[in-house]
Amino acid sequence: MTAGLQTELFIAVAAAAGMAVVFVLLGLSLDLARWRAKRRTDRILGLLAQVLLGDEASAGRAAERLGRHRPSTVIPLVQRLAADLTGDAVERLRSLASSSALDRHIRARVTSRRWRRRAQGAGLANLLPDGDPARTILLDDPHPLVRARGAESLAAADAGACADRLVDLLDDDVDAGKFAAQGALIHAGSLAVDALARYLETGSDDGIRWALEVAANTPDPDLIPGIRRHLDGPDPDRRAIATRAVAIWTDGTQELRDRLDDHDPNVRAAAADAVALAGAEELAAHVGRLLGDRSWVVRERAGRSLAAMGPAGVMTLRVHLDDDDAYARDMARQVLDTLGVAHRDVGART
Amino acid sequence: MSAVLDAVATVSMWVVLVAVVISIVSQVGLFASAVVELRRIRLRDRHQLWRRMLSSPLAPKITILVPAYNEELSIGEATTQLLSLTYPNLEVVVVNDGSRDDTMGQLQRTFSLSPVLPVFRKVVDTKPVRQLYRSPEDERLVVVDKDNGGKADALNAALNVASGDLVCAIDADTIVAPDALQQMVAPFLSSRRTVAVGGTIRLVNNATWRMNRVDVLHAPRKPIVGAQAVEYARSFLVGRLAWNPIGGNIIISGAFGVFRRGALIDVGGYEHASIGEDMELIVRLRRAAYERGEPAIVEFTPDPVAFTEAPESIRTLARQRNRWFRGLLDVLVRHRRMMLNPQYGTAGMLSLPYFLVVEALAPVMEIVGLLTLAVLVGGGWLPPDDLIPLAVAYLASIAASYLVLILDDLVFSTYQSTRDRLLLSLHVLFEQLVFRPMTTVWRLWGLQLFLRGRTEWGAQQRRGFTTPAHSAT
Repeated sequence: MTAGLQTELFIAVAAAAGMAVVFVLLGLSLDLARWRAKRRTDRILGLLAQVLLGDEASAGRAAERLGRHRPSTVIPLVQRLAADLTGDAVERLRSLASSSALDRHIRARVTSRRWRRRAQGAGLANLLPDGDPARTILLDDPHPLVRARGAESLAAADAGACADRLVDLLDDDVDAGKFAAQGALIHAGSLAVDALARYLETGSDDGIRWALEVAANTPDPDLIPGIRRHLDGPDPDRRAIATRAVAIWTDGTQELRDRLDDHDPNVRAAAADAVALAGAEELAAHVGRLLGDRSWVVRERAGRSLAAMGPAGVMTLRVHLDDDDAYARDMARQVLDTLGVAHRDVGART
Repeated sequence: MSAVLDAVATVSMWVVLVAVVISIVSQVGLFASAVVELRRIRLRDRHQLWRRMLSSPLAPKITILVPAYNEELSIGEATTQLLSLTYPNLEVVVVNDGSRDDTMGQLQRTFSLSPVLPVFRKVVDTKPVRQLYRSPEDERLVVVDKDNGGKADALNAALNVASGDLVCAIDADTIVAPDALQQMVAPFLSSRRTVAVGGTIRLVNNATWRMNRVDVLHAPRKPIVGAQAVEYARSFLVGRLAWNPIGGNIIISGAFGVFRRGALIDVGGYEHASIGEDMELIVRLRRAAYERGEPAIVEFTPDPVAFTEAPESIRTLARQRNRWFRGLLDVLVRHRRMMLNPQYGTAGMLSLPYFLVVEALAPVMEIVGLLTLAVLVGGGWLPPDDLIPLAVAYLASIAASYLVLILDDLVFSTYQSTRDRLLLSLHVLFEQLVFRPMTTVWRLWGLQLFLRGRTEWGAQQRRGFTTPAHSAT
């Protein structure tokens, strides 16, 4: 090997080793930067905790000290807390926002030309004062993520006041908007019932399914007429959701009986669930017949439904231990086993 | 004679240089694109609360499809982990693809399975299903026992019984991060054109476990695994993320990917005859969408969403790499009509040509050139000093790997100790100088098998995820 080649090889090895050293040193400096950032974050979170939990004097002092930090550092941390707070805690954060000029920064973000800043502002919209127009313009934002975040934020603030616009979001082109609107409407509860009931009567085909899911999670009798309209509609998904929803507030025995005989297995399964939910013991025998259904989901739901029904359900399960259908016998035995109810062994599983 | 040898030496040098330069230039281009995309995604994620939204019971239903062949060591634990994911609307379909070991017995014992009537709508064709099982302990679990037909066939069988709007295809030995599904579903909510989403897979060969979950990842100790860790980081963080902004993604890892079920069914599910069924499926999904005139979105999310075990033996690794290469060639041949065809947008004009040149041709050119140069230098026909440009090219390639690891550290802080970083820095050198030539040889092996029409998979030895043993590391 020539001396020249040796030198070149040495340079190559040194260059590779140099890169390895730079990599390790950069890693160490990153660790240091992370440690500093964590210390700063902990300090700000500590101050925020004082604002939220401390007495008036210490909260005031903490707010003043928070004002010394850069808004770009404080806002993401406030955002992390804001979405999960309610009641007094939100009020305290609101007064912090107004006293430390955070609300000015939030408003600037909500009206920014850059959608990412608007999305950040949307996450803090519930810290703006009631009736602030900046809150509601988010729902009409051209960017779906901002609309979704706006809806989510309003759920924690005054969803009732914007119920009509939230309901309109169920027709959004982007599922994220619909999804956030669902969450906001469920949060709003009875405040959104009128708007939701109107939508169940007149909404678009696509949006109705999303609205029915909200209705099924909103216990209000005013929604029942709207839900009933979809019990025997052409779409099995809607029938299944409506069946479950209607069982919450009505005995609906006849309607449930019809759905137990539905040709779609998902609807039959939903009806079996609904019978237990409505406590309709008179339908126990009907549900028992589903223990031998062709669909496992239906058989399993029927078993659970009977188990939840109490003595009437157990009686029905015992009857089906002698069913002609092997799968019905097996399901009845499995459910009775789970309940710890003594029964004679019906033999090995099929 | 001397003039001929000079010419051969010059040509060989140029061939190797061109191959390495193609690789470096493509890596630099992809790296720049990945950095921009990563920044965009981080900014987007910082301002959204998808994870909270997707904890709602109204979240879209996902069916996880788990094909299992001879997975008796890991199937029980893997399925239990899937059922314990935090996603609120979940179904898990495990397919025992005619295993010759006790995979089925393991499942039966762990979940007290009961046979059920095998009634389902056969939307895609598969080998005969022997029996369907459900678990009284967890209604979300479905087990399909069927005749052996390969991974694609098992996935199709799972697709037939799946009821979710979205399906997640994973390998039986993949460990999924607790909130992985929340991250993967978000792009589907953002656009209805999204048909598939993939995420970063990390290697779990040297990890600390807590509560049956991966707690801290350590840099692998064995060079052969370490080199794969470096390669995975480069491949996922740069190789896939970089295609997001230009809409050119054509690979979602078979180890973990989420798909719109309707789109999968529309294209007939997984292709039985394909060796690289994961890439083939994505290309077919994109092709069908282009032909309908509604280009589909295939998105890659850079967050680590799943973990898998890397092969530790050379033999298994060689089989895996040879199979991957045959899979790539198979896709390039099957979908050659898309190549440089403007009808197929970015996929046809950029992605497929990239895979042909950088992934398929460059390594072959590189190894042929290197071997010729070695002969010429060994025989004294070429002065070693002439190899300097080659050394510079390799150094640049090493630098590119370090850049990716720095980016990974900056964004995800995957490896958090100086010891891990030191180990990784050695693995980078091993990967470049030893591992890469080895993979090239395996690719050549794959090429000759492909040309002879061999399409079998080959078996992989599993150690199983025995968490207590791992906790000691």
